[in-house]
Amino acid sequence: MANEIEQKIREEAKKLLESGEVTLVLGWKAGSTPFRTTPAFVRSAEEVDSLVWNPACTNNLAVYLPQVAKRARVAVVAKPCDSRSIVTLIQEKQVPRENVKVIGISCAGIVDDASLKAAKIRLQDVHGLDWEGDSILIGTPAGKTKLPMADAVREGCKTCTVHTPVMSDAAFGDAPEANPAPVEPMEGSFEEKRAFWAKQFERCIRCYACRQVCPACYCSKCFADRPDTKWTSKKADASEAWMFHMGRAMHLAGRCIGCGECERACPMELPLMKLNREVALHVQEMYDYTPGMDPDTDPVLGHWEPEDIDPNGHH
Amino acid sequence: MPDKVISKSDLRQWLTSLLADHDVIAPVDREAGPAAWKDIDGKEDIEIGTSGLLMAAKEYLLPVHDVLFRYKGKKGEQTLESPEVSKKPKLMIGLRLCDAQAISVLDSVYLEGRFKDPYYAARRENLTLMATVCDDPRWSCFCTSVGDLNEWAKKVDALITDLGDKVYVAPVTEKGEKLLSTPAFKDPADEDVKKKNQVWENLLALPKQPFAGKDVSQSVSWDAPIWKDMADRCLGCGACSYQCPSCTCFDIQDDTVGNTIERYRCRDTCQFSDFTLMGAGHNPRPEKTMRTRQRVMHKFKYQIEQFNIIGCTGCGRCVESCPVNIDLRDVLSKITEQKA
Amino acid sequence: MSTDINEITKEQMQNPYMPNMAVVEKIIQETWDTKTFRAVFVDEYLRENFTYKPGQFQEVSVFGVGECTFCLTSSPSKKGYIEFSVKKVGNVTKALHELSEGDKVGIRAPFGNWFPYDEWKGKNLIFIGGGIGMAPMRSILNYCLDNRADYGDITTIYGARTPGDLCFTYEFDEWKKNANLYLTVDAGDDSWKGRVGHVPGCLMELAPKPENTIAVTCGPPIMIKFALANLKELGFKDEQIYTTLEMKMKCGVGKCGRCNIGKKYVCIDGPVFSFAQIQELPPEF
Repeated sequence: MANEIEQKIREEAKKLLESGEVTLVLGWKAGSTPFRTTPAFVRSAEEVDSLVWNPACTNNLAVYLPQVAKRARVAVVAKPCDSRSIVTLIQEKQVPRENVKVIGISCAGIVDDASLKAAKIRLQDVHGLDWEGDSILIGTPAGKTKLPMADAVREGCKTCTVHTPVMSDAAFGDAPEANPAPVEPMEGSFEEKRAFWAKQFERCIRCYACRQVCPACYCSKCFADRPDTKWTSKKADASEAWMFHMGRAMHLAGRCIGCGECERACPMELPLMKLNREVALHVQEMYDYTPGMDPDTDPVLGHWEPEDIDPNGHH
Repeated sequence: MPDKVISKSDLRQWLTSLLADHDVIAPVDREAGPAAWKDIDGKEDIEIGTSGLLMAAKEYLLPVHDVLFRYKGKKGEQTLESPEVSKKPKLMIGLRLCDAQAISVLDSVYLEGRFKDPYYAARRENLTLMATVCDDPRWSCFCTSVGDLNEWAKKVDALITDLGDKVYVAPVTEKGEKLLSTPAFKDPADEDVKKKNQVWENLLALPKQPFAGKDVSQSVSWDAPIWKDMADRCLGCGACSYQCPSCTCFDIQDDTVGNTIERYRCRDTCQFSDFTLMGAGHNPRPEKTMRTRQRVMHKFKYQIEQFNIIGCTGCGRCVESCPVNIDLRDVLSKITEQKA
Repeated sequence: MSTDINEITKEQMQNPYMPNMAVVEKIIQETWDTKTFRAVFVDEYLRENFTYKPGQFQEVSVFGVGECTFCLTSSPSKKGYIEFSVKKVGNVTKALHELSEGDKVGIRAPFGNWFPYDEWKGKNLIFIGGGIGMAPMRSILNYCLDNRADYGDITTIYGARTPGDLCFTYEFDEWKKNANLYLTVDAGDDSWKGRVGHVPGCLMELAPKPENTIAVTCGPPIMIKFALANLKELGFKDEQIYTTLEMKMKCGVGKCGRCNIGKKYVCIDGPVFSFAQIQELPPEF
């Protein structure tokens, strides 16, 4: 299934590069193992055959756009979630719309190390990955193993409702039927949630992989890196990490499109998506807003309507 | 002293009894994430197997939050106070062999040269290392491609091999022997020796990488295209170096806690642009290409020139933790290929 | 002067991260953004025995804000105190500027190498400084002037953007005594009667002879670049030209890694380098 689309991506990339419409195509290429891919920076038509499309295409390539598309025309291969990040970047004036050609790919769900491990797959044994109907097909030494989509995909994919890119200049693939698990708010009292996060943040080593991998974290100077204001120090303890992660979650309110890259990148396995989803639920409830759907609208927190509710209940 | 075996329950009892006059540092599982190094109190479930992505031993030797001193007292009369250091002999058990080798790198940086690092030295001195032979290397492992495991094994005090319900213990140094000379350790059966040898053979049989046996320091060049290739993809996070067992760079910061000012050091990395940014705005390594190059050059060239040791032990943590799959093994293979 | 520095600060060598308390005895407002601080150690033994060599640096703490690296701008020939000049650029320097005389700071020193002034004996010396770059050279200049008989001609070329940006104006008379001082500014004002123009240009006009001469240059990178080119044109060899490298530093003792260039650490192997030594470094400073 992936092969056909892979071919179309390559053809499109070739066309765009040869015509000079873009100088760079961002996509994925084979990684160092069959269960990983790595971002590809394709600058010539000769290189387009390195581009791949398979269930390991996890990176949200929108993260590179503020660096590469501010002053140059680039194409980017985008899954539906990635396309929503691109919309957010356009809304927030980080990238001019005319500089980005979106090669949109419909997506049934992506796997990563964590989701494969959770599905009890030994990573060393993975020889290949593909989709087949409602399943993820895993090539192993013992032959092909089929896992139901819902068991094998990343956490973020399980609740995903958008399986077709929301914005594309060329679109490939058929939209699989969306069958999302409902997003549930975190259970428990305020104290319990507080205790839960305090425990989680003990592990944070402040490597900032979560922030660096996030397409919405494009600030040239993050509040956490500012020595003058010292919102949070570099100390790796739960309370400082709390400030960093909560601060980051707040900054992502109405902007996080739920790609799950932060959680995937975290070497300490912090369940960051739990936090982001919680914030997203509040935004949805208060403003009836789903981020990254329409480049022609304002970002929800950059926009005010007289009938907006005040979360504190004042008028 | 001949090799010994000990049942896992006896091992646990032995470690608990050691706590009377020792600090015992062992890997302890947590609810999620890699197992952590802990100065144990005897109640924990220690994890001496190495199949999990155990935190590097530097987590103990160079804590992520390492207090240098506290500045406290009434205004105008403040004094500097060093943090308390345990004087007990220490045993670190369950570290991977690659991490034991990484301690040699840390030793070079922190104990050699004009200045000795007193905080590192206090933890390092009188520290006995009982390293575990990996019985299930991870997909990212490449220790046998950067070093000679037989040599690394000589630098620890004892080697342990997990045999399921019991543990095979091979003392290496006198220090190791002394510690193990208690009746809890029994003579191994032929079967145990066989199994242990098999684990060692399996580990040595780890597939060699294309750069194995080649001198990276001679092949690596200042303006190789690989730096740009890495810099394109690199997102500038610190996952690789923070998880690296032999990365040693740190930052020094002050925090005010109540009436006390605490000066501490914490992890830092050459991968952050702030690392070399000076107050007045000048940055000698402003480009990502320079920073990706620095990390590789430092480990595979500069540290060899400085200390005659490779600053990498093939533990694979950077390989696993890189969110964009910049695989150091590929980088090194490309570097040696280009020159060949 | 031959006392081993390592002996004097034995305690500090055991824990080089532990600052020694010092009182700010005097603050001199050099320019609108630069102040020179004179500090005296609280510890009596240290106050009397602490010594260092021109070119070495120190780490100064404002507790609660942090630590910053400064060269020792005073000369070890002046006993009982140390001085450092601070340009207000970041957090710690801002906090230092807010201090009053009598306030306490923490000092870790001395670190790094020094100008090889013993090897320079009998030679002519030319100091080429720009802006705050005069701070490290003030130490060696004053040291050489205090040991005047050991050296040949001593010439200083010192420039700044405007007359108001010149530091150490109160010492200019000293720098002229038995020596030459040439001042220049990029842009003069009504009261400025001196030379107007860049430092490297001034150097070319003076055209010092390279024979038996050592040149030392410190200042903004662009000034060093042109001064270096001009010195070469005048026939100076790389071995005859010295500078101090500025790199971000934290520990000062070769551990924290940020001043690493190639196999060198600026805090241990520097900050003083001859241009011959700099040629061997990767171009990352």
